[in-house]
Amino acid sequence: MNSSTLPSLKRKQRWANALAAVTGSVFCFLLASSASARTITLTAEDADAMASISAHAPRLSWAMGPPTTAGIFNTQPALYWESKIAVLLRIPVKDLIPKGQRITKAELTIGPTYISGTANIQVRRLLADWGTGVCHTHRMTFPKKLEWTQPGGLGGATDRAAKDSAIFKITKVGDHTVDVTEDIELWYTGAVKNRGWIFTHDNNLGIVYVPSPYAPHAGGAKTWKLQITFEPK
Amino acid sequence: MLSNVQTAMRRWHVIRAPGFLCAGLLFCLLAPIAVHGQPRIVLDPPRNGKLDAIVPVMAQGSLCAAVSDVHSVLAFGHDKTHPDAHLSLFKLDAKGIPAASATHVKLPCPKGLAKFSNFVTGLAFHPKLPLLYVWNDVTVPYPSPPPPPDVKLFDHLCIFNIAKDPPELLVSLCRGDEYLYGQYGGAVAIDATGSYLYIPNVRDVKNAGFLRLGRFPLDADGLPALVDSKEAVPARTQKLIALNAAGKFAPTGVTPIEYVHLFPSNAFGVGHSLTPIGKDAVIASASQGLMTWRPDDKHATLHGLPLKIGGHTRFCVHPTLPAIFATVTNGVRSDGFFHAEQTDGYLTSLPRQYVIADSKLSGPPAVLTKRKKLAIGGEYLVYVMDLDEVGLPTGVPTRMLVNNPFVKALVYSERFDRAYVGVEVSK
Repeated sequence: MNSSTLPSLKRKQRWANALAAVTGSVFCFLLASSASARTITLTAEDADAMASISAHAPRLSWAMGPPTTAGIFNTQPALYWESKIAVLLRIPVKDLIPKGQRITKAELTIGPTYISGTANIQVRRLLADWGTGVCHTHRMTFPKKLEWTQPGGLGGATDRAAKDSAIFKITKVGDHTVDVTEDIELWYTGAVKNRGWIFTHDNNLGIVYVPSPYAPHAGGAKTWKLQITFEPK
Repeated sequence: MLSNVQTAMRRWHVIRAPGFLCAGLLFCLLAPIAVHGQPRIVLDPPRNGKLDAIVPVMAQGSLCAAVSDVHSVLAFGHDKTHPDAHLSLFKLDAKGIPAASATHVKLPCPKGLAKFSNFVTGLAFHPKLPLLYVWNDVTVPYPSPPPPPDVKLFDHLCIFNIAKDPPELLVSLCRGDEYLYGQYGGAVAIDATGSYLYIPNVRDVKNAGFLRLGRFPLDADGLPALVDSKEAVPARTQKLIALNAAGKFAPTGVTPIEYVHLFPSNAFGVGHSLTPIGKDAVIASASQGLMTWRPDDKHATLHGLPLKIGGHTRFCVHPTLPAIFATVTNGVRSDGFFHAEQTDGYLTSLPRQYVIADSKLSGPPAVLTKRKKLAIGGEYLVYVMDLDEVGLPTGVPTRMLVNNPFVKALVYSERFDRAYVGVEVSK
């Protein structure tokens, strides 16, 4: 074999390999992009805004239970959910789904670990802008103090949507799932600004324990799941 | 032979090509998962630089620092490694430049603890009076084995009159069963009106595992208001000493008992940092994150906001914006820090974690208010980054070399617009 031919051949071969890799990636990317529906699972860990507000502690952004006799509020490990508490949660779905998709299905799951009686957890889209300092009385306290139309963010068609997006009917412990396809589609397409959901426990029929959506040392956020299926338009 | 080589290479290519395809497929399938959420925000890689606002000050083994804009004094608290002092005080000139040499101060320690060392974990100046409050601890392991009896004589709080040169120890207090010992963290703080002194590492007398924060009201002379304030200062001081000797010098306010999520036992105690907000609230940190204590609020006395990483949690609060910045060290120095928020002392919003690539952060953050910057100490470096209009870190961090393998003492003076950082003696 000619000694000058072999390095030249190896160089060519390296180029061929690199080309194969690039071609393979592009092919697979196109394949993946053009493939049929895909499903992603987001959790409360993907949220970019969250709060848990309560009439029991009207200025707190993080009240995940009724007050103890000592007046202590904490966010973990569980959300001790009774009728005065509302959870606010926003997941930036538009940033987490590739462009040019059509939402075919979206399901929200929570997993109560204890119930006393039965409970309905209502899920509605928030309409009012909320943020820093959000609490039972205010939707934000910075940069300006702005109150909810109705304390607790309960103002229909002002603070939150006039009708429920879904209702979790909690009759037993374990995962409960509701359909929120319409909300995700509205947020993804930009038809409605994504201000997240407000979860309320309005019927006061019983207390529900749910793993806390903000419990970095307990892992509860992973049990709040949003599963979204989409496909190319 | 050439054809043989070509054949072999073609075969190799044929064999390898599906591998590339598989790798590509795997990449495409995993790529969407990798973009989930934004709990960690990675800042641009830092560039080397220098900022004249960062002033290195020779303070060997410095664990904490405080500055008095009113009295133009800078104080460093030292680890047990400092051979001559527990405390170093530097006078600041009209431009905020520290004097070339410091006044060194040794803190008292009972004779029975001679084989142990004490060290300073917290410092605070009175907002108006020339007083310095020092929290110190001793290297006796807590809670076992049974400690030497003289641990009960160890005073954690020392109050100095800094108007005297050298500073005069007015009184040393906080001894006995009410106080934890052997804790490697613990701040001390006074509210802006000088009404209350907040202290760390208080424990329940009946249960060694119940940790608490405490506070004392302060009288017009800056002494804990536990005795009749109409008496002269020397008489009051003697009464405080007598109370302390009798083991009856206890904070008038303590946090409610919670020992699982807010006050779990750890090597750094509770109240790793303390920042009073107004007269009636204090933001504090412990090993699982942040909390606010409102002693006079019966309905929401204490509320917590955990951070993702547990450990020695030190923070600073932006004086005008909601931002709180925190670093957490737990044996492994972190490459990240946290941004949380508060308004009126109420903890709010979802904490965000920021990452500075390859940094090994070791100390508390400091906001350089006038410059709209944030500074954090690390391994031989201080990192400085810009803050936007709402107090979020932005832009490319600058890193500045300082001679300290563990920058732990960093404090900002708004009056002089300088951040002082404790550095080691060059060898």
